[in-house]
Amino acid sequence: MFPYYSLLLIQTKKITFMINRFFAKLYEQPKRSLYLPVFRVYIAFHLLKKLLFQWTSLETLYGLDSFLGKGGIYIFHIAVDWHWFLANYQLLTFLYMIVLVLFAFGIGKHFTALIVLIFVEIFQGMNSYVLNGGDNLLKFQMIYMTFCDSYQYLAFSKLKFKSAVTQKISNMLTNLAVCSIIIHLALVYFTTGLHKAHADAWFNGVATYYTLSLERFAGTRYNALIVKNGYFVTLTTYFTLLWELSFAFVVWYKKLRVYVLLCGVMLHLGIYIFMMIHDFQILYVMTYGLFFTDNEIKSFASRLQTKMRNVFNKISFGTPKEPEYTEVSAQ
Amino acid sequence: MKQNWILKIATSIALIIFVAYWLSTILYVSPNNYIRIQFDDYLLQFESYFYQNWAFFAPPPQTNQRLYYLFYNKKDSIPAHAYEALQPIYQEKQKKSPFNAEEEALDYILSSAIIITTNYLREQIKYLKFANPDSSDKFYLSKAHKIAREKLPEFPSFKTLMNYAKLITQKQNIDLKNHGISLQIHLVDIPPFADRNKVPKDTARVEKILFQSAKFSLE
Repeated sequence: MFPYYSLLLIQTKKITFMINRFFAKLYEQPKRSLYLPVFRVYIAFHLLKKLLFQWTSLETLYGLDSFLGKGGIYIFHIAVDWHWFLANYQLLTFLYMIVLVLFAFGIGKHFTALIVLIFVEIFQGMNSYVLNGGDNLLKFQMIYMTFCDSYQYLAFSKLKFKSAVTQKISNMLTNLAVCSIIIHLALVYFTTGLHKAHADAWFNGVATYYTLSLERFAGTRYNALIVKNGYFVTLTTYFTLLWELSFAFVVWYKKLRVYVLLCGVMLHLGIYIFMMIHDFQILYVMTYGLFFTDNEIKSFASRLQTKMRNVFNKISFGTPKEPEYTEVSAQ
Repeated sequence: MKQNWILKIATSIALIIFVAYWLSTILYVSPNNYIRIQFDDYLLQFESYFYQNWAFFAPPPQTNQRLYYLFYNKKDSIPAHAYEALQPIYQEKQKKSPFNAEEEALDYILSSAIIITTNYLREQIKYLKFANPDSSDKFYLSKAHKIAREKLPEFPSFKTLMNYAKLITQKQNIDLKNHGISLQIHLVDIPPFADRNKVPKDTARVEKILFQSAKFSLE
C-alpha cells in the first residue's frame, strides 16, 4: 500500500507544481512584448496600404453605384442597413483610415483595436467577393489584438496599471492572445496540409503544375516554362505538403524554428512572385516574428550589431592595423 | 484578499473561454469526421461568427474559367458579338503585378460571382441525383440548368455578372436598344501533367460550356 501512496503523493506534488508554474507564467510579463508593437504597426500599415491601393476602385468595391449586385450585409452576424453603408462608403473609409492611424500610434489602445476590428468586419461585409485567406486570418488576428497589450513600445504612452491585479489580468490576456495568434497560424498550415494530403494532385506530387498553370494566378510569363520541369513540380509539391503538415509540430523546437520559418518565407515568396497573391503572403510572414521571445530578438539584434560593426569597420577603414607601442620607462 | 478573488474569477472565465473557443475552432476546421458531425448544430452557430476556410488549392483547380457575353440582335437569335471578359483582366493583372490592386479586385469579383453561380448549378445536380437516383445524367443536367436559369437572376452574384456586361457594352460601343444578352461560363481543361511537354496541337484543350443563361435585355 505504502509505495502506491507515496507514488500518488509525488505525482500530486508534481501536478501541483506544474499548475502553479503555469499560472505564474500566465501572469508574468509577456515574453513577446518587443515584437507585438511591431506587429500592431504592421497590421495598421497593411490595412492602410490596402485602402490606398484600392483607392481608384473604392467606388466599385464599396459604392452604391457600383456594378456589384447588392445583397445583405452582416456585421458579426447582425443584418445591417446595407443601403446606408454603401451610400456612406466615403465617410466610412475616411473614419477607417483615421482609426488605423490611431491604432498604429497606439492611441486609444484596446478601444481603438476594437474599433479597427469593427471596421475590418464592416469592410469585409461590404464586399465579400474580394476576400481571401489573408483577410480571413487577419480578422482573427484583430480579435486577438483587441486583448493584447501591444503598447509597451511604438506607442504614444505605455499602458499603466494602478493595481497589481489588473496588471496580472492584462498580462494573462496578452499571453493568451499571443498564444492564440501563434496557434491559429499553426492550425491554418496544418488544416490546409490535411486538406491537401486528401487531394490526388497533391498526393501524387503534381499539384504545383496545376496551381502555377492557372491563368488567374499566373504571376510571371515564366510559369508555363517552369511547370514543364517534372523535378521542380514534384519537389515543390511535396515540400509544400510536408512543410504545411509538419509546421504545427516542428516550429516549437528552438533549434529547428529558424529553418522552419525560413522555409515558410521561401514558400510565401514563391506564392507572392509566381501566383500574384500579395498581401496574404506578407501578413503570414510578418506573424512569424511572434515565434521569438524578447530575449531571442535581443540576442539576435546584438549579434547582428556586432557583425555589422565588424563589416562597417572593414569597409570604412580597411583591416585595423596593430597599434604601435612605445616603451615607457618607469619613473 | 478581495483582489485575489477578482484575479481568480477573471482567470477562470478567461481560461474557460480560451479552452472552449479553441476546442470549437479545432473541431470546426477539422474534416467531416464522426465527432464533428455530432456537433453539427453547434458548429453552424459557431460558423456564423467565426467562419474560416483553410483548404487553399486543395484540390487545385484543373481548369481555367472563361466568361463569355453573347450579344444578340433583338430581331434574331444569332449572336452578333461575343466578348470574353476574364482573359484581358488576367493579362493586365500579370502585366501590372505587384501594383495590380484594381485588376485583382475585378478578377476576384468576377471569379467569385462565377464560383457562386457554378456552385449553385452543382448543388442542384447533386440534389437531383439524390432525389431521382434512377434518372439519366442528361436529365440531371437539363433539369439543373433549367432551375439555375430561373433562380440565378435573383442572386446578387449573377446580377454582378450581368451588370458588368453593361460596362462592356460601353467599352465595345454596343447598342443596348437593339441587343439582348446571354452569358456563358466555360471551363478550359489544363492539359494533364503527363502531356505538359506536348505541343498544343496534340493536346487540344477541351473547352466545355458549364452554364448558359437565358437572354436578357440590358435596357
